[in-house]
Amino acid sequence: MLRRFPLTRAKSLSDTWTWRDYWGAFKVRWGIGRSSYRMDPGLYALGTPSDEDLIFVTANYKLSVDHLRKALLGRNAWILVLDTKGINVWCAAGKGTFGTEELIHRIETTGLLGKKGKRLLILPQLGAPGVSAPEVEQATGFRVIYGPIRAKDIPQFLDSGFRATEQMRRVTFSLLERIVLIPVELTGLAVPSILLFCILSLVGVFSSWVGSFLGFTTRSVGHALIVSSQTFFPILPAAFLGVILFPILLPILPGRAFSFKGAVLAVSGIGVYLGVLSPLDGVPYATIILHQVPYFFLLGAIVSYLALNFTGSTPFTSLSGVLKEMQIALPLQTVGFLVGTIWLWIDLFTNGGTP
Amino acid sequence: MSTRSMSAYKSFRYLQGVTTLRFYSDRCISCGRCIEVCPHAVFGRQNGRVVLLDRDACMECGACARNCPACAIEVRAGVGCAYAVLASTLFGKLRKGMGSSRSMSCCISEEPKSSPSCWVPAERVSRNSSCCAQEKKASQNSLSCVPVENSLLESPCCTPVPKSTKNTHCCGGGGCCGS
Repeated sequence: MLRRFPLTRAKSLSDTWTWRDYWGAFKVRWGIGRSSYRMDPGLYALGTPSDEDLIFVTANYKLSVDHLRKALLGRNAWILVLDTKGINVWCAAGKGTFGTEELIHRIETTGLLGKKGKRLLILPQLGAPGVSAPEVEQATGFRVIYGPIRAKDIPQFLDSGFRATEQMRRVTFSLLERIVLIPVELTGLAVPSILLFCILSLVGVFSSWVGSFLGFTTRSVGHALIVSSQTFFPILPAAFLGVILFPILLPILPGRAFSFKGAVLAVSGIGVYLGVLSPLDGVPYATIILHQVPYFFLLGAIVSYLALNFTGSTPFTSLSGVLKEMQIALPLQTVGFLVGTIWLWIDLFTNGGTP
Repeated sequence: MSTRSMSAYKSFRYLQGVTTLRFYSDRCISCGRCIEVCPHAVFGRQNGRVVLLDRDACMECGACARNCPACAIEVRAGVGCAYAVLASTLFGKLRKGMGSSRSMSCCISEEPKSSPSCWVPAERVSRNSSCCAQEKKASQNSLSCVPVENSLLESPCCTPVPKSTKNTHCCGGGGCCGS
């Protein structure tokens, strides 16, 4: 049996954003301090709520709470913040931290169990993957209503007597929603890029050392470092294509598999670059093939991989689909990356380090 | 839900014919909870009955199965994120972290490929059920679960509840089966 604690004194919340909230929201979009952008879980009071007012449940990612309280502007309401370790509602529901157990536990420990009047919980619809409404209803006696997906629809939802329109219940992935993801994807690319650079440099120096030791080449370690950085150089256009252009062009890229869409984008990107920006008039075909083909392999593999990773940022990819796609795409990407790197390496080494 | 309103959301489609979503209409009590929670209009209502409208739009979030009071929906729930799949394969961390908290659900198995064992809350399972081995707990509110070793796709974890018991014992107000 659950215990009936006395109602905790709810901390009060404001329904308006200060400059600090806007600045915080901007920073987390760039991935700065995102994992520590959180609030204490527990019960909060918006305005001066009474027993007749509703309880809204959300995650303790501060941006989630901020959007909720902004949407409830001018209303009295209870806000029950679950401990999701600072993760937003949907991701936390997927992990299970925004879940049945945690919700029941919070209702119990905040003393809400003894609440008189309206015994209604309004949960965000995207919390449903983690919460079993029948179990919560059975355990607590509260009725669970899933509100709209986006907090901005809450006023209309409440004013129409908990009636969600078709549009409120569907996730969208508009151009704007895709663009706001770009900064954090870029930030996330920084560490792997530096790692890749270090690995390529080490391999370059090592192979140069081994080469000169065996008498194949007389080139210096400094030269090997230059070659390594030139091998690394394609990561910049790859990042531009895979992290900036890919989310923008997602709906118009052909195919369903993200890795395929990414490969198509890479190939057309290089095609546009060679055809328009850097015409190769008069250069023999053999030379073009020798020097440009490795970029198709390298960029194709990297952009395809970045695109595959973008599945985690979209609201419509399924685990089964991702697993199926990965089985085919990952081996191809690995082969493409290795072929491209080695080809480029040999090409650069034999051309004196200038591509 | 009309076909006209659905077509507006068709712009984003992922791989087709891969979802593990299963809908057992004979168990369905048409409460409409799945329509409420699904972000992709996979379910809809036709002539008062809940029907599976658009199976291939399913992203396997598991919301419908977890919130179904009649165990009429099964899906291998998970996050369609290549990075998470890679990380869990390489480090096994995510899978472990996900497993513990996912275990409360009815008919959701969290292991991506290996042993799709299913955890079912004891109270929710029909007494006659042969597939969901369970021990009825003393307290009605106890949410303790019992593991059921079973293949998700070959045989359903929750055996169908006989029609006559659906409205009386099971599922109507959340109190489920076995009582």
